[in-house]
Amino acid sequence: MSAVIKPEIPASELAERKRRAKRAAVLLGLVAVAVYVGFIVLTFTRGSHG
Amino acid sequence: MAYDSHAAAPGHDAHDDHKPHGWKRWVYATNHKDIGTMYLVFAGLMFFIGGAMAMVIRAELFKPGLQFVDPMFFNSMTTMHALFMIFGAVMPAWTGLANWQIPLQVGAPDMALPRLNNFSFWILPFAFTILFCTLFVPGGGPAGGWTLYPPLVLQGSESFPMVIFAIHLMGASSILGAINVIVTIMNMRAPGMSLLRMPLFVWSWLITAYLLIAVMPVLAGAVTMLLTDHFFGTTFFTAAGGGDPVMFQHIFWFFGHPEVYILILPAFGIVSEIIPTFARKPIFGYEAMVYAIASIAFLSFIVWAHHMFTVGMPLAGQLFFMLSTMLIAIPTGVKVFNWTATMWKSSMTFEPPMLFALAFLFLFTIGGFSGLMLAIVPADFQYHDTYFVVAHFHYVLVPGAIFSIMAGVYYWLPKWTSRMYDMGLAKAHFWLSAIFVNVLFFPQHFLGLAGMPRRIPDYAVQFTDWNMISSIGAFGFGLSQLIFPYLIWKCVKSGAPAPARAWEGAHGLEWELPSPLPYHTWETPPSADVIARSAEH
Repeated sequence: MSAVIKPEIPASELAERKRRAKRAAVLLGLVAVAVYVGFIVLTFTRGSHG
Repeated sequence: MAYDSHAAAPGHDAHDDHKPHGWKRWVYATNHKDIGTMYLVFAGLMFFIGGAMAMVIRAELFKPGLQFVDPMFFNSMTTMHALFMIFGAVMPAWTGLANWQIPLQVGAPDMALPRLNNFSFWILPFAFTILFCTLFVPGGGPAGGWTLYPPLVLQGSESFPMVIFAIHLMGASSILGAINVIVTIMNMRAPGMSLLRMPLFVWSWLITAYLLIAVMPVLAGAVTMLLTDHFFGTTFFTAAGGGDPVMFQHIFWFFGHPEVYILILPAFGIVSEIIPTFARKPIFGYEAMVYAIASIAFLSFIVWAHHMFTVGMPLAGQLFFMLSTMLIAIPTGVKVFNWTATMWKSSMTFEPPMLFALAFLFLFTIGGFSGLMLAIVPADFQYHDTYFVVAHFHYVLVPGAIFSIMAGVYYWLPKWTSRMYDMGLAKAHFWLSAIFVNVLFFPQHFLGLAGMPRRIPDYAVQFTDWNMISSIGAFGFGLSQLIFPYLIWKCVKSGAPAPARAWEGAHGLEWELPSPLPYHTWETPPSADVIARSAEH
């Protein structure tokens, strides 16, 4: 039995999937940057005894 | 690649299955299979470089006194061995397996962001070239341990900024790889592939990827602050300027403990694929396995200070970190129970992937138990910074992570190459590895309990016997690993043709694809009944 079905995914859905993928990637990247900056700020404000 | 990618494959347009040739195929690679292969080859190379460093360490420790290298170089070897193995071997190996398997297993044509995927990989050779070159700058490579604790690390050689830059690059590569994994799994699954139908390897990687995004920036932040302390006059971790060196340890281990789970969670996924296949039974308690991985990931964020009991902390802190660490035994116990229950009254066979998975089950559990011992605060005061700790984390990482990577390669190699490997050689590789890994690491428990400190090139004479045995185990283990690349080369060159479903009990979308695997797969998604059949749990 063939493991695939036809027809392929419609172009509109592919475009929407691309948009979703890009949006999710940018969001996750921003989360990573926020954690990076957040920990430096945390150390600056809470870590020093000065 | 040895297979003919133009071979007609059912359900695929043969005319569309072309692939680039020559060096451009690899430098400009955007195909998940090619990038997966590059990650795995790179990880293998780093494994042997890191392994060579381990051989230097064990040769030096074969008997008391200084034998071959000076103490500074010895410390450099312990530091570099860890960095190469963690960031160069194990993490890229998991990313390689993710690249190969996740699109195949969720019915996606490729990773969601193929160019980013290429970039994530090609960062790594530069990072590790820089790191390796630190051995040749004045003062030698980093020698303060992979934990990079200040103030020691700030007193290091001229290689310090190179190490920091290399770590930043590795972190960037991991974060980009993790973003790609999450976006692929969340957006590219075939219709009908619901989250709770996904194979456990995919689940384990989804959770691992979230961990990576949460903690790799923390490491990047910590090493950035080290850099500014060293070169720009800040005093984040310098007591003389009002900073706090212990703060570094908190930040490092807030990254470091989840990092340990980053190294092991995909192993749970692989073992959860292999045991049902060779037990010929669905995994026992699929949903419990998913929740257990998620629980372990959550707990990994609230246990970091168990690495620092001897630094000193309030009693309430000690109790909290001790008990939260012990809690991890519960979801881990669920997993071990479910793997065992899957095998209960099953029709097991013992092909190489299953042998490695079973060794994982036994030996990782030993590492887990010694971890539980280390979680007990008063006991940890005895064990801290001894060879007991070295034995513990090597039991978790070598028969844990590395055996699982090997299990995964032995499991999927017939699918990737469409050829079957030499079973006898693979079993010899397994038995030699399983015996020597215990000869290598088990005596280190005794050394640690007897008080031998870690990270020393010389030791008191009473530790000689077990060190000799451990070193013999190391040489045996190191030599045994040479079988692995030879076996893969032999399989690719002249292995017997493997069927599309290489293992009788294998389920999962990857086994629904033809062999040889077309260069492009799942360009049209699998049908609902194929997905339902593949998710037999």
